[in-house]
Amino acid sequence: MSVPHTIFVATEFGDMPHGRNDKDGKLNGEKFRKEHLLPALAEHEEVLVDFDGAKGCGSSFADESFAGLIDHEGWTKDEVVRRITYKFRFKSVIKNIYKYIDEAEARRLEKC
Amino acid sequence: MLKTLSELSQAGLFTAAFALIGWIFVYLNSRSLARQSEVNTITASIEKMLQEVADENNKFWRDTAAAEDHAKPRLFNAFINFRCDFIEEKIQFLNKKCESAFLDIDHARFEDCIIDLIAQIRDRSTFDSEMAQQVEDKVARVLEINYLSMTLYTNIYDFLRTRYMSGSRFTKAPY
Repeated sequence: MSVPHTIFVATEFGDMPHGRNDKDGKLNGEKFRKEHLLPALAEHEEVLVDFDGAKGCGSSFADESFAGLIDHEGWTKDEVVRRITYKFRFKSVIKNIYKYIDEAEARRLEKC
Repeated sequence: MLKTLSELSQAGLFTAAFALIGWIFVYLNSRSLARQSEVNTITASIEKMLQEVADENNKFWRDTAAAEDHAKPRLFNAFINFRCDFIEEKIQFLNKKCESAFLDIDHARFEDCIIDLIAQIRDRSTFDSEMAQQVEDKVARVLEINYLSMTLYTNIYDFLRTRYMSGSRFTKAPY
C-alpha cells in the first residue's frame, strides 16, 4: 500500500480553520479545498488530512472542504472516501466529515 | 499435619496472614470507592458542560447574529467545540476508569455511542451557524440539542449504573 501524501492543516493552512467561504474568514473551507486539497489530489493518489495541532475544525469548514468536492467539483463519494483519510484526536469531528460526505452524495444522486 | 498447623499457629503465622488479607481487602475497597468518587466527579462536570452547551445554543439561535457580525458565530463555535472536545476527552478517561475484570461491559460500544452523540451535538449546534439568519429550523435545532444532551447524559448514567450496580439489583448490561 502506498504512503499517502499528508496535508498538515495547522502548519500548511492555518490552525483555526473555520467557515465556508471568504465571507466567513480567511481560513475557510472553500479556500482549503481549492488551494490545498485539490492540488494535492491532482498530484497524489491518496491524501491524509492531518488536523493535529489545529484548534478545532468547524462543521461548515468540514462540509465545504470535503463534501464540497462532491457538491462543487463533480466528485463521487467513493472517490472522496477512497482517496482522502483524516487524522484528528477527536473522532466525533471525523465522524461528521463522513456524514457530510454521505449527505453530499445523496444530494448528487438526487440531481442525477 | 495437625502438629505442623499447631506450630504455625503458635508462631503467629495465621494471625499475620489474616491481618494481611484484611489489609488487602480494605486497600482494594478504598481504592474502588475513591475511583467511584472520581467517576462521579467526572460525570457531574460532563453534565454541567452539556447544560452549558444546551443553554448557549438556546441563546445563540434565539438571538441570531446580524449577517455582518462574524465574531459571534466564531465565538459560538469556539464555545461549543471547546466543550465537546472536553466531553470527548473526559468520556475516554471515564471509560478507562470504569474498566473492571469482574464485569463484562462493552467499553468500545459505549465510547462509540457517546462519540456519535457528541458528533451530532457538534453538527446540530454549529453547522451553518455562520449564516444563522438563513437557517430555518432554529427552534428545531435547539430542541434537538436539548434532546441529544439529555440522551448523552442518560447513556452515561446507564453505563455507570451497570458498572456500579449493587448485587441485589443485578440486571443485564446495556453495554
